[in-house]
Amino acid sequence: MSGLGYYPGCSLSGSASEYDRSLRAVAGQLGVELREIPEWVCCGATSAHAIDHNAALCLAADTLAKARRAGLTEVLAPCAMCYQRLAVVAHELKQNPGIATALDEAPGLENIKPLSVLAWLNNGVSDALQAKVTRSLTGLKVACYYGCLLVRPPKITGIQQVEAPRQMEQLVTLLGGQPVRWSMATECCGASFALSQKSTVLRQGRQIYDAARKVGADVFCLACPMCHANLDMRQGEMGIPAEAQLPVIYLTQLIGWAMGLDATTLGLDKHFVPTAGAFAKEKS
Amino acid sequence: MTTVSQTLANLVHQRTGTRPLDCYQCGRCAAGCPQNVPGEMDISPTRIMRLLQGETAFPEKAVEYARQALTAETPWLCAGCQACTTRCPQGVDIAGAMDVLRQEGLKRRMTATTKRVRDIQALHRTFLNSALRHGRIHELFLVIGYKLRTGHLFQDAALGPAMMAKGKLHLLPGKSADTSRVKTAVERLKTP
Ligand code: SF4
Ligand code: SF4
Repeated sequence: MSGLGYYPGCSLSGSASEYDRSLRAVAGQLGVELREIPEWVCCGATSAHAIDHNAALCLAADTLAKARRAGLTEVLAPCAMCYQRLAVVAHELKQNPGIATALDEAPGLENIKPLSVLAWLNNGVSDALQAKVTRSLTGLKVACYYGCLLVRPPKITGIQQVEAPRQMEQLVTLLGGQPVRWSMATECCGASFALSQKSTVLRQGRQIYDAARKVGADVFCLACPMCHANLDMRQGEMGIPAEAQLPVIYLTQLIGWAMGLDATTLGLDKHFVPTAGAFAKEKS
Repeated sequence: MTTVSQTLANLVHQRTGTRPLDCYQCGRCAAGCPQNVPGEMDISPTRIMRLLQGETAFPEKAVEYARQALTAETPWLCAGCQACTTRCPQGVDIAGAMDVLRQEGLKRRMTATTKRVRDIQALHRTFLNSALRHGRIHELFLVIGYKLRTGHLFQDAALGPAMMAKGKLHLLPGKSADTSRVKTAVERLKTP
């Protein structure tokens, strides 16, 4: 197989473009060829499975079918939500062959494997990654924030220590950063209610912020565009004064920085909470 | 009127492979639920499981228990975080049951009707319609569509321009993708 299937999804094609950019830059450094799935469709996110079971199944299955047609066997889905939807449906395809039939697809779609960004970086390329670190993050205290869908439910994600995962911490350590121990790493930020039920995202966001702040974190590191939008755009609304706000950095931006890539390439200038201060610290 | 042939508990079993009857009411799902707090869910996820058990155990009151579960705000205020399903010692897929309750509630026209529940339903509808029509979500159109449906025209009004300034919100839609196969498949699965 040449190249890794790539499913950017809607967020990375829109408001989370810096996650897309930084991921492509990091893949380039690692010599991984990303092949975007032709004509991929939206995974349906929270809304499809909330109100229409069949639509949720067919949307994600269609993308897996398009990956197979392009000769791909693994699909990297950096967005935690997209990853979880693809993984749920890949699992469902095993029990329910009717889905492939309804799409006029031959059996075997379930063999297309969705990969989370953590699975990709930890299992496939971590040695190559270590070799590329030129700018250590020494002294940077990082709150690794998984949120929900990168890890849950373990039946789908295959994550072992689901209440206290270590995959992101391992990567941050490899970059020379210092992961903090904190209590909210896998709590929900309420992202599915960002538009429709704001009380939820402000309450959850504030609790997550307070927990990170309490243990002296300098930055959040995460891998979900919904978590990013909530934590990066709404700290002001959560009542946190500008000088106390914590930068919210995508895992791939952190890695790219440690590889010596510049802030603009990584989209570090696109955030609401300025990120420059966090990296200034590590230089001194 | 459509007759209700399936119990909710059976549907949950079919969809998730797990049974509400296995729940022993330990309360762990409620304890770890981010939305089971004052001002959010009206009844706890544990209580939802109890209602589904009642629906099975007491046929004479099944309709009433089902109504209570469907018309609670709880399924709609569930964030889908999967904490409950992950932690249930009995292996019950509570988050999967919430999906079934939302879908069945809409099908039977029996859901909570509070303003916030209608807002949440409007968002899901806007999102799914947009995904099925265009194949991809254009965030600005999603927000506009939602605001038009709900009348929340000024909520987060300041965020839009700020996002645009950061290059995070695009005026024009990007690529769309063909969804004809998906739409056909959804229709086929509807009529087995
Ligand atoms: S965690 Fe499981 S067994 Fe305990 S109350 Fe919830 S559904 Fe029932
Ligand atoms: S999935 Fe829903 S019910 Fe379960 S813990 Fe999360 S918010 Fe609560």
